[in-house]
Amino acid sequence: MREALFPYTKAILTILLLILAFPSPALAFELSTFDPIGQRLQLLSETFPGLEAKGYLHNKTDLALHGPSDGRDGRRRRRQDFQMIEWNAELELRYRLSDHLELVNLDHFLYDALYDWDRGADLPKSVEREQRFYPSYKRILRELYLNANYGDWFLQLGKQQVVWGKMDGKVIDIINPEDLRESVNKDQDDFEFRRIPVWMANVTYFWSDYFLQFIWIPDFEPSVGPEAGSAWWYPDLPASLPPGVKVSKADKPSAAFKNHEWALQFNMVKRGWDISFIYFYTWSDRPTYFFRGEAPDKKAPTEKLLLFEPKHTRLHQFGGNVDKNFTFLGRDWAWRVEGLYTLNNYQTIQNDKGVAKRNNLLVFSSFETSWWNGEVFTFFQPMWRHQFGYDGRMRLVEEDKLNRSEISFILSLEKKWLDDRLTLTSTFYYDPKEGSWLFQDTVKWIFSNYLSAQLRYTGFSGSPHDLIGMYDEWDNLGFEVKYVF
Amino acid sequence: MKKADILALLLSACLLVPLPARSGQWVSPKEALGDPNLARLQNGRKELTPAEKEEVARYSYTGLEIMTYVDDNKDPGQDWDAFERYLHVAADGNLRSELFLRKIKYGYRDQRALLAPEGIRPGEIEYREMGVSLYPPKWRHSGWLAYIYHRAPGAKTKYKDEWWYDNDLRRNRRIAFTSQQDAWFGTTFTFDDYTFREPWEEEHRILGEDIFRGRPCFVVESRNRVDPSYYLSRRVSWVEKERFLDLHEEQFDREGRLQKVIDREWVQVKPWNYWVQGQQDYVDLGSKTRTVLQNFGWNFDQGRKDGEFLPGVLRREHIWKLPPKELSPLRNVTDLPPKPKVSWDFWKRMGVELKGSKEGGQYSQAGVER
Repeated sequence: MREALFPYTKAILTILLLILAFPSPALAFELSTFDPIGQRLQLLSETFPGLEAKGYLHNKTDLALHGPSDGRDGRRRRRQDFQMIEWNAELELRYRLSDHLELVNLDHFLYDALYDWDRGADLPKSVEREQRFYPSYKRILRELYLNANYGDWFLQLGKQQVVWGKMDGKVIDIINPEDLRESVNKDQDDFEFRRIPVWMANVTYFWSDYFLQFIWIPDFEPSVGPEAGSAWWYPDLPASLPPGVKVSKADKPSAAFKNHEWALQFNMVKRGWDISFIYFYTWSDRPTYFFRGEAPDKKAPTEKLLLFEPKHTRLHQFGGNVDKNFTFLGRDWAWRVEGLYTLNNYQTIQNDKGVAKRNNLLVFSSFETSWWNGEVFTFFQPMWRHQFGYDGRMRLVEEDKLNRSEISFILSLEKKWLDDRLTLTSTFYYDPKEGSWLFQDTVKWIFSNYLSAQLRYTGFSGSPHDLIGMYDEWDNLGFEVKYVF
Repeated sequence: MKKADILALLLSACLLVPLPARSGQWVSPKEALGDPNLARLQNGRKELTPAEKEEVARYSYTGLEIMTYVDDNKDPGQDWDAFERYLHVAADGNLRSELFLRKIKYGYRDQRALLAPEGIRPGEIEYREMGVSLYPPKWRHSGWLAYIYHRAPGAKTKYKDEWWYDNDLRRNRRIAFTSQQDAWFGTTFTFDDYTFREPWEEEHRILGEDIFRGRPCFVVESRNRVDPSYYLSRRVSWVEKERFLDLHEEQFDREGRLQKVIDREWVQVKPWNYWVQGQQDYVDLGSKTRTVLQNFGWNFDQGRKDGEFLPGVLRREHIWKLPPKELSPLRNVTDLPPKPKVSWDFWKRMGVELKGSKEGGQYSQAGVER
C-alpha cells in the first residue's frame, strides 16, 4: 500500500513542475483570474451591505525523506511515509455595524488525511482522535469578537488572538497558547492557524506617541500537541507511558476570578525608536508534571505505580522589545531586540521532587537588510536563553540535559524573480553548543492574487539529546498549495 | 455657577465640536515659492551655471527649477488620504491587482520650507504615511506605516522607518527599506518612480518644447548625479508649462536604450483645487511588463494628528472609509487605458534617432540613442 502513495507525490511534483516550466499567456491569464469562491462572496457582500467575507483553502503535505526509520540512537521508530497531509479551510466574516464598530468571526476547519491515506501510519488511536480533526467545536470557532474604534480608544471584546513582539519566533508573543502538533517543523506562516485564540477583553488607549494596552483573560486554554506517539512526537520519547507510571488528567485552572490572566503593555515611539514594556500574570501554557508518590497497581497488586499530576502553574512574565531602522554600509537596516523574563517557572529536575521553581530569560535580536538594490534580502537573528538558579540535574526532555545558557542563530537569505512571483528562501538554524542545525529551502510560486504553491525541504541534524537534533531522521519535503478567496 | 465651571463646560463643548477642515487651496508652485532662485539655487549654490543662465534666457526657467515645481505638485496640502490601486500585467499575461487606502501627513509647512530650509532639517521626518490594504483578500486589513526622512546632499540619512502589519499573522513587524532603485513590490515602477526621487539627486536640462495631448510642455532631461551605477542613464519628462505637471516620461537604461514609457494623468480635486496624479501608466519595453496605478477618493487638509501614525495603530485594522461603489473595474487587460506611446515626433525634431525602433507606436527593446 505504501508504494501506492508515491504516484500521489509524483503527481503533485509533476503538476507543479509543468506549471512552472511551461507558462503560456493563456494559462497565466486563466490562472490569474481564477477565483470561483471569491466571486460568489462578492455577490454576498453586494446583497448584504456591510458584510465582507474572505477565507482560504490550504493543503500542507510533508513527505518523510528517510522513509520508515529504524529507531537507531534510541529514537522512536517511524513507519509512515508522510508526516502530515493536512487540509485547512478558513472563513472570515466581518460585519461593519458602523464606521466604528465591526463584528468579526473566523471559523477554521482542519483535516489531516495522514490517518486515512497513509496506510503505513501506525499511530495510536488517541493521536488520531486528537489530530485527524479538531477534537472540539471551540477549535472550529476560531475567533468571534467585536472591534470598536473610537478616537483614541480601541476595544476588542471576544475570542481573539493578540500578538506581542516583532521577532521571528516567540519571545513576548505569549498571550495565546499554541497548537504544537508540528513541534520544531513549523515556520512563521504556520502561526496563522497554530495560535489558539482565547476569550478576552482587550483595551488600548492611544495618546501622543504612546499607547497603553490592558488585557483581561477569563478563559484559560493550554497549548496542545504534539500528541504522544504522533508523527511529530519527540523522537527520543516512547509513544506511550512506560510501565509503572501513571499520569492523572491535567488539572486546568477553574474559571474563578482569582484564576484569570492579566496583561499590560506600554508602548512609545520616539525619534524612530519603537519601545514596548510588557507584563503578563498568567498560567503556564503547558503543565508541569508533579510527582505525587507511589500507589499500588490495581492490575498487578504486587507492583507499585509512580503517580504524576500535570498542573498548570502561575507565572509572572516581564519583558519588552525595542526596534529601530538605521543606515549602515550605505543601506537601510532594521534592528529588533526582544526579551522575556519568566518568574516562577517549574523546571524538570532529577531529584526527589522532580521539579524546581526557577526563573529564566529569553532574548532574541535580529538584523535585516537588502543587498544589490533590494535583490537579496538577508536576515540574521542570534538567540539566547539563560536558566537562573541552574542545577546540573535539570532536564529538557526525559534524560536530555538542560543547559544553563544556550546561544543559537538563524541566518536567512531570500531572492525574488519574475515580478516577485518566484521566491527562493534559504534558512539556516545553528546551535553551536549541541552542534544541531536545521536547514530549510523554500521555493514559492505565486500563480495569482489568489493561488500560490511552495515546495520546502527541511533537514535536521545534531545530537539526539537536543530538541532539533533528535529529529535527525525526520527530514522532509513539504508541499503546500493555498487558495485565498 | 462659577466661572471655572462655565469655562470647563465651554471647553468640553469645544471638544465635542469637530474642528473645521483646513481650507488649503492649490497655488502654482512658482507663485508659492515666490523667489525662483530658491528652486534654481538649491543646497547653498550661489550662482547659476552658464548652461542654466542660457536656459533662463531661452525658457525663463532652469531644468532644476521646473522639476522642483513638479516635485512640489506631488505633495499637495498639509495632509491627505486617498485610495490607490494598480493592475500589473506580467510578460506572460499574468495579472495582479491591489487596492489600498493611504493617508499622509507632511512634517513641513510647504516646499519653500524644504528648500530654504525652514523648520525642517535633514534626518527629520518629511512625512508620515499609513495605509491599509483592501484587496486582494490575502492582504485585506493588513497595513503599513512609514516615517520618511528629509534627505539632502551630503547628509547620510536613512530613508525611512517602516512597519508592516500582517493581518494573517496579526503581527506588526519593523522592516528595512530595500532600495530606491528596487521595483515597487514586483511592479513595473521603482520606489524612485513612486515617490523617492528628489530634484537635487539629478542634473536637469531643458531639451526643448513640445505639445503633449494638446498641452504645451517643457521637455526636461534628468540624469542621476548621486549614484554612478544608477539603473537609468537618463529620463526625459514632458512637463506642462502652465501648472508644472509631468504628463509623460521616457526612461533610458544604463546602456542608453529606451526602457520605460510612462503616461501620467493629473486631475484637479474640488474643493481644494489641488492637482494630483490620478493615473500613472508604466510600460517596460525590456521586461515587457505594464503597471497602471490609479489614485482616487482624495480628501485633503483634515488636520490629522501625529498620533494617528503610530505602529500600534496598525493593529486596529481599520478601513476608515470605503471606496466609491460606482468605481470602474481595474482587474482585466480590457480595463486598461490605451498604452503610452513614445514621443517619436519630438525625437525626430531633435534629430535623435532611437536606433532599432519603429515609429507608429511600436516599441523596441533595442532602441539605442545615436
